[in-house]
Amino acid sequence: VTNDTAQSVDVLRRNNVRVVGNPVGRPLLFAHGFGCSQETWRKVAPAFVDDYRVVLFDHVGAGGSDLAAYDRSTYDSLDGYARDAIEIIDSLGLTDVVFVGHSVSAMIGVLAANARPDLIGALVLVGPSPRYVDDGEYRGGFTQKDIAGLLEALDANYLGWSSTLAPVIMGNPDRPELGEELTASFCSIDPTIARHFARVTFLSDNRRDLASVSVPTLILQTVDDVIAPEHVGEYVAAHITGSTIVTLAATGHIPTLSAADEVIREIRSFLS
Amino acid sequence: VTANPYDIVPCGLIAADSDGVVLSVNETFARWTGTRASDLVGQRVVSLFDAGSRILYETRVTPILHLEGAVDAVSLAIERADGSVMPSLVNAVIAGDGTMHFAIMDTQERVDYERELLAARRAAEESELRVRILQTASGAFGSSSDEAQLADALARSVREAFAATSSAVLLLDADGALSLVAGTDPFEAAPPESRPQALAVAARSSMTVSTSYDARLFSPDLADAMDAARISSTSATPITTPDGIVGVLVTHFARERTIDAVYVEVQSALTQQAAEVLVRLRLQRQLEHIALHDRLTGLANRELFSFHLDRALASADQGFALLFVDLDGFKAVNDAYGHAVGDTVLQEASSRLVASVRATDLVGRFGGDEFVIVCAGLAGAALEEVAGRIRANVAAEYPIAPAARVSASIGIAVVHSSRLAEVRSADVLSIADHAMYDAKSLGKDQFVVRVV
Repeated sequence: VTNDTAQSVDVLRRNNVRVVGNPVGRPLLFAHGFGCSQETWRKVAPAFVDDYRVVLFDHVGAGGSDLAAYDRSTYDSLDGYARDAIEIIDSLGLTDVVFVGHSVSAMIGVLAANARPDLIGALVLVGPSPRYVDDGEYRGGFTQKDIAGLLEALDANYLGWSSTLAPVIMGNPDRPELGEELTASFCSIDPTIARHFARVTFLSDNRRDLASVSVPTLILQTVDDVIAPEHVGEYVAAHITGSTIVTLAATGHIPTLSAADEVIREIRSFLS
Repeated sequence: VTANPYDIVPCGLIAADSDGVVLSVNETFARWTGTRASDLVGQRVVSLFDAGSRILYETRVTPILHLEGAVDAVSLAIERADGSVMPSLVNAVIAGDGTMHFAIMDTQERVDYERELLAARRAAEESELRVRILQTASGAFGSSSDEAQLADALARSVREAFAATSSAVLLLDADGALSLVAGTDPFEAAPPESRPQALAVAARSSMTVSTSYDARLFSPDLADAMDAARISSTSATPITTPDGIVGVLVTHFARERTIDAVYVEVQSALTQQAAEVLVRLRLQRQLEHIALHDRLTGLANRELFSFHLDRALASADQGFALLFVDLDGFKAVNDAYGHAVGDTVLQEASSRLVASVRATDLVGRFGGDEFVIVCAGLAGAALEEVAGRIRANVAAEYPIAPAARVSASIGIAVVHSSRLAEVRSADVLSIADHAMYDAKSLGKDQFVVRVV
C-alpha cells in the first residue's frame, strides 16, 4: 500500500464515500446540506446510476463520516468542506465532475469549482444562498438575531440528540448498492458539530465567490423556500455568468425529497 | 352543544397537506398563538415557528419526516401573533395519503430548565476548554528548546483555541524586520506595511479586524490583501518582553468572526506566557554564548575551539588547516600604552583575523596574544594566500597605538583527508604550535607550514 493509496482510503472513510452506477459514466457528485446527510439524495441519486458514475458522501460531522476527523479550525469556513470535496474527487481520480450541491453545499460546490475548475466541469445548485443574513441592500432573509435563534433551537434539541444519537451502520464497502438500509436513524448529525456547522453555514458570506464561477451552472429554485427565497436564487443567477435558473413547481427547501422527479428531470435536461 | 374533544385536548394539533400547507388546527393551538383557527388554515406549517426554528424545521425536520415518515420530540419555538415565542415539543407523522399530522406540547417550563442545564454545561465546557488550552500551551512552551519550537507551539495553540483557519508567529530580527518563524502567513504577497503584523508593531498594540469594513478603515491595502487571501477576519498581537516588542502573533479566519473580550483575554494570556518563555530561551542562549566565547574579543574560547577541532578531525572526507597565530610585539604595546590600549589592540587584531578568513572558518583566542584558526579544506596556494593576508592585516597600523609595531608569527598544521582517522587533536595543536615557534625564530612576521 503506497502512501497515496492509504491517504485515499482515509479520505473515503472520513467522508463515508459511496460510489455507485456506471463506472464509465460522467461523475456526478452529490453533496448534502446542513441538517441531514447523504440520505438527502436517496430519491434523486438512483435515477442516475445507469448513465452516470454516482458519488455520495457525508460531510464530516454528519451521517457515517468519521467524527474524529472533525477539526474546528479546518471546518470554521466553507473552504474546509470544499477541500474535502476536492480530496474525494482526487482520491477517486475523477475529472469533469458534475457537482450537485444542495443548500449550503451549493456554495461549497462553488468554492470547489473555483479552486479546481480542472476537476469540476459543471455545477447544479439546489436552493443556493451565498449569504443568509441581510446586509445593506442585500436581503438574505435572516438577521443575526434569527441565526442566534437557530443556535438556541439547536441547543433546545442538544440534550435529546446527544442521548439518542443512533449508532450508524456502515455500508459494506464491497456491496455498496444504492438504496440499501444504511443507518439506524435518518440524517444523524453530531450535535456539537452541528452547532458549529450551523454557525459556519448561516454566518458565511460567499457573494464575492459567485463571479469567479467559470463552469456551466444550473440553479434549481423552488417556490416558498424560507431558507433560500426566490430573489436569492435570482441573485445567484445574476452573479454567475452564463448560469441557468429553473424555478420548480415544488415548494420548500427540500425538493430533493419532496419533489425528486422534478429535480431529476431538470438535472437530466441540463446535462443532456 | 358538546365541545369537540379535538379542540379541548391540552396539546396543539395540526393537519397539513403533503406540501406542508395547514388544512386544520385545533382550538388549543389557535389559542396558544393568539390567532383564529380559520386564519391559520392555508398557511405553511413552517411559518408557524420563529425564524431560528424555521431554519431547523426546513433543514432537519422536513428531511427526516420525508425519509422516516415520522419525527419525534423536536424542540421548536412557535411564534405567536403578538411576536412572542412559545417553546414547544413537536411530534409529526406522514399518513398514507401524504398528509402530515402534528402534535405539539407546550414546554415552556421544561425548556427553561433544560436551557439552564445546557447553559451551565456549556459554560463548564468552555472554561474547561480554556484551561486545557492554556495548560497544553504552557506545557508545549515549557518544553520548547529553541525559538522555532516555541513559536510553533504558540501558533498551534492559538489556532486550536480559536478554531482559526491559520496563524503565524513572526519575530523581529536584528535589523528590525519581521520574519515568519512558525505557522503560515497568507499576507506574504501583500505590501509589507499593510500586513496586520506591521500594523500591530507600528501601533505598539493589538489590532483586530472583524469585517472587511473594519479592514478598509485600517487601510485599503489591508482590505485588498485580505480579499486576495480569502481572509475575512484577522487579529494581530505584539509579543512583548521587558525589552519591548520582539514579535507578533497573527490569527486568520476565512469567515467573519466576532473577536470578543474572551478571545482577547485568552490570546493575551497565551502571548504573555510565550513571551516569558522566549525571554528565558534568549537568556539561556546568551549564557551559552558567554560560556563558549572569549569576553574581550568575542572570539570562540578554548572550549568551543576544541569542539570545532574535534569536529574537523571527525570529518569523513575533508582535510583542514590549523593556524596558530602569535602576535609579535604585543608585550611592548602593553608596556608602552597600558593594558586598556593593549586590550583595544587585541580586539582590533581579532577583527582583522576574522576579516582575513572565510565566514565558515573558526577563529578562537587561545590565550593572551595567541589565536587559533580552523580552516576546513584549505591547503596549498590558497592556504598560503590566507596566511599572507593575515600577516599583512595584522601588521597594518593600529590607530589607537600608531607607534606600535605588531606583526603575526603563524604556525600552520595541514591535515590531509587521508590522515584524519589517525591523528589526535593534541598532535595537530602541538605541530602548529611548534611551527609558530619556528616562524618566530626565523625572524617573526612570517608563516611556517607543516604537513601532519
